[in-house]
Amino acid sequence: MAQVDNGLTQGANRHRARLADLLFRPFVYIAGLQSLLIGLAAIALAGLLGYLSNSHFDGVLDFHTGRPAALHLFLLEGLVDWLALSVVLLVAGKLVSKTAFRPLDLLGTQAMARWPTWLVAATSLAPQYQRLLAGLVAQLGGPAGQVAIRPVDIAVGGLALLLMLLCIVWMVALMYQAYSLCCNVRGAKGAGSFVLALLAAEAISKVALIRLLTR
Amino acid sequence: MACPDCHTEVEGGFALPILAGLDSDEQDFILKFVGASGSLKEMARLLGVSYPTVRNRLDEVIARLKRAEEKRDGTGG
Repeated sequence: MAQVDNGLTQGANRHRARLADLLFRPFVYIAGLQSLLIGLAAIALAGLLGYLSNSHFDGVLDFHTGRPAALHLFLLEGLVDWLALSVVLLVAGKLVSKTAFRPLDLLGTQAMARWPTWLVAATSLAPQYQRLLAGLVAQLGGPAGQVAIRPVDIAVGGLALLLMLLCIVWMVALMYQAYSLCCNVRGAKGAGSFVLALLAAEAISKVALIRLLTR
Repeated sequence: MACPDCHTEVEGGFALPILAGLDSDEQDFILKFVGASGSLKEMARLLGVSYPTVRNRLDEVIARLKRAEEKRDGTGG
């Protein structure tokens, strides 16, 4: 009986480890062209959902809801974000990695790491979230724009915001795991070079998008 | 060196082959790698993991072999 229990516990532990791998380290199993195709599909879906909810990924780490725009601009934002970080990480990987790595793996896994963005964009479609934002914007406009925000909008909209924040954190964790695996860099060197690359890519993507969108 | 089944024991001042110093997983990896003609893509397919995962595993095995070689030659730290 104890052996059966032990076997069940080991099975459950393996199942949990596999689930954690699929959530946070899917690149152990998927990389290269396969990850690139999944990633590009997710980026396109996030752009489409963003278009429907006026939600912009206007920077590698940015997400803002508000301004309507043409569909191609929403799609372009996701591509610029992905390319900005991928190119900077390629350079960082070349500088700090001791092993030869395939650029396709890094490009593909970084695209796939943006998978949670479609969940963020889908969540931003929630009417409660949209009403909460509209109410907050009206309140910021001054006393003339004062509108009462319904408690249900605060509760559900607040939960939506929390979910979006968690998805962005999840995305950054995936980006790091993808970089660490593809370039085989870990520890302080891996984390340090990733953070620097992320900050540089954030600045590059912001500048690139401002230039593209104000043309 | 001893066999747990037949209890045969061999004692003496002799060096083991470097490959014998690797654990069974690493030895198995090398056997599969040779069987796959050194193709990382084929290894990824065989093991059901991605290309960079296999390459990182190979890097680990190479590092282990280098350390073992240095130890044998007395050049290690």
